[in-house]
Amino acid sequence: MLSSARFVRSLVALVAVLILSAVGARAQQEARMGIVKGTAFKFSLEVQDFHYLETMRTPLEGGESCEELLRRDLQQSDFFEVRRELAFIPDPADSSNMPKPVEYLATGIVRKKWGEVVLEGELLDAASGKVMFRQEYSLGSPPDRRAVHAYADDIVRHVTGEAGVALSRIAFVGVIGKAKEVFLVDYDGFGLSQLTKLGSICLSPRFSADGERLAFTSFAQGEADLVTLALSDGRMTPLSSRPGIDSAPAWHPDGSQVAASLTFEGNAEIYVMDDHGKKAQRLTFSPAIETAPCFSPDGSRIVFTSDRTGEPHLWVMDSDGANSQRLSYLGKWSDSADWSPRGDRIVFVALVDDGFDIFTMAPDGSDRRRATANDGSWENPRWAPDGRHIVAAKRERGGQRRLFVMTADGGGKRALTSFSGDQYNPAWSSSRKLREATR
Amino acid sequence: MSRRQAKDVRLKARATEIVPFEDHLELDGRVSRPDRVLNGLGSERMTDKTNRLATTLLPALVILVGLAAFGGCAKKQKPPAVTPPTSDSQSTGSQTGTTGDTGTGDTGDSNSMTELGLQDIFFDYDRSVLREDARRLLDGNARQLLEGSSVVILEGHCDERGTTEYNLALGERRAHTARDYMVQYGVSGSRLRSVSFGEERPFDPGHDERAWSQNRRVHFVAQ
Repeated sequence: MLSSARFVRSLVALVAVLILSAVGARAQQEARMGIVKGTAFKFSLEVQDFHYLETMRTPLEGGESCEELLRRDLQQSDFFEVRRELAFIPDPADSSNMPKPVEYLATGIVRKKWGEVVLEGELLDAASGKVMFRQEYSLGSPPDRRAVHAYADDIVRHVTGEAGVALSRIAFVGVIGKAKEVFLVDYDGFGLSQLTKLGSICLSPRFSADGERLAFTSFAQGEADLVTLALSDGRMTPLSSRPGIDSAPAWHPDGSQVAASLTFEGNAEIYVMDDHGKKAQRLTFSPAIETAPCFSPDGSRIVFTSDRTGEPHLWVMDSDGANSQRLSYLGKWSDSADWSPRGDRIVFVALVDDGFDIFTMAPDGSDRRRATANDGSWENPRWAPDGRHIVAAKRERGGQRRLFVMTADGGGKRALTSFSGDQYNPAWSSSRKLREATR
Repeated sequence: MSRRQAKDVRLKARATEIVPFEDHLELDGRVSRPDRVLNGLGSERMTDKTNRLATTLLPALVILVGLAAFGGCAKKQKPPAVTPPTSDSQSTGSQTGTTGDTGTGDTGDSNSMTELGLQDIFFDYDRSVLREDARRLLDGNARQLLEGSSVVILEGHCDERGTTEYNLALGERRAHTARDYMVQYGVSGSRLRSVSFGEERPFDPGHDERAWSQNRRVHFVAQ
């Protein structure tokens, strides 16, 4: 009896240990990824004041120093709790010199090299003093904010294994004079440039997955057509000029196809076509409005808006149009879905109170969470490439629309750009290629 | 109500609509009217100051106003002092922009077909079904068109609530509904083109139900 009881007890203990260690390992892994749901896990990181050797401490555009911008980028990455300590060059051989509570140290030296100003960045594991990476960035003169952004993204990638967003850009529609044009701006609001000068109405820009092209709706020919724009040279190519409305383009993740809402057969339906606008294949067949499609990141499914039940709500179907099913039952109107590049969440807006608010949900419609409340009416939420941030347009009562960036739970809202006109229809670039191509 | 009374009511309503609105014209970023439309029917009339007016009407007055217009309104009469419109006229959002001397409200909408007397029709929020007042106005529009041979563009518009993409489709559905109705009335479908501007060209740039009710419309433009 005694021995069997002891056996059972030890078996229970063993199972408990196994479960706990499995859970612990999983938690640790998720913690490293910084994706533990509902918790605010952050890596602690210290950005020391940079050393400036034989160079002036020229402030960046906007007045910040390089280290101040690096701290802000890392803070805004949502992965780090950024600390600032007195500057010193740590001696990797002497680990007692390291401040204990900090996990990572980022250092920088700005100096001249072959007549050019460069930033030498170095990330250290604070506990071991081990160099995680060392990279040289061409800072230029006047110093370029994007060199610091590049350092920030490298830190994010080395620590978390994920791509940062500091180098990403956001396209949007801005009202300038009497026209609605497409603009492009850095993720932190700097580097604003106007991409179109059509003097007409441009709407709904969307980046291709490689970030090299934008598709958008243009009224330049009198009615809604689809156009693509190559970011490398700004050249525009007609994508679809069918009769009726050609609108709401969304790229397939492999860049070979575009889904859109077309009305050339009489009613607004979802179609997919190749990236030259040919071979349009109809996916929906209902007398209702179908629009605002968005592919899942694996390209297998499409979320879209349909009012086939009388009110506009979100539906999802296979990318060949099969297995259409309703996804949201929230409020009087849910719309404008965007599938996270990580695949795990869909962001959308729903009319629940007075205005539209931002929600996220799992791709099967479960686990819905609200990101905004009692703070104006929101439109067109779009994921950042990291799947952790959202950009969206807010229309304040009696005012015009303004773009805000926030984390997926609605935290840390900041106005994106100092552009003064009405601004809406944002899209967040996805890849590094774009950033270099437009440089 | 006499014809004169009906006219006064209309002018009052008209005056209250216009004043703030003409200010907005210069300030906001509305897209300019396409040249092809400016060169279209009635462009001379549109330059007449007295024609640059929008009118808000009680739905019950619509027919009376129509009669007044056909009866020939005094073109030089000054609008009376501005008085607030009744809440009824605000909520119905009924508007004639087109009959006789009234012209369109020159408010960023493309020119209405003043000579043909085509009237804008209005819709409920997120709806494209024709209201009773819209049917009456469309009957009148169709009658006018049956007498001519010109091609007309039906512009579908929405208020600012909802998303850009959905509203583009909704605007087209409104235009299609109006087009289908007029085709059933006997107007040749080949003379009716429909387009949609979604929420991108509001008639009234305001952000309240009064503005929204004016913006959910189908507007008629000469090709």
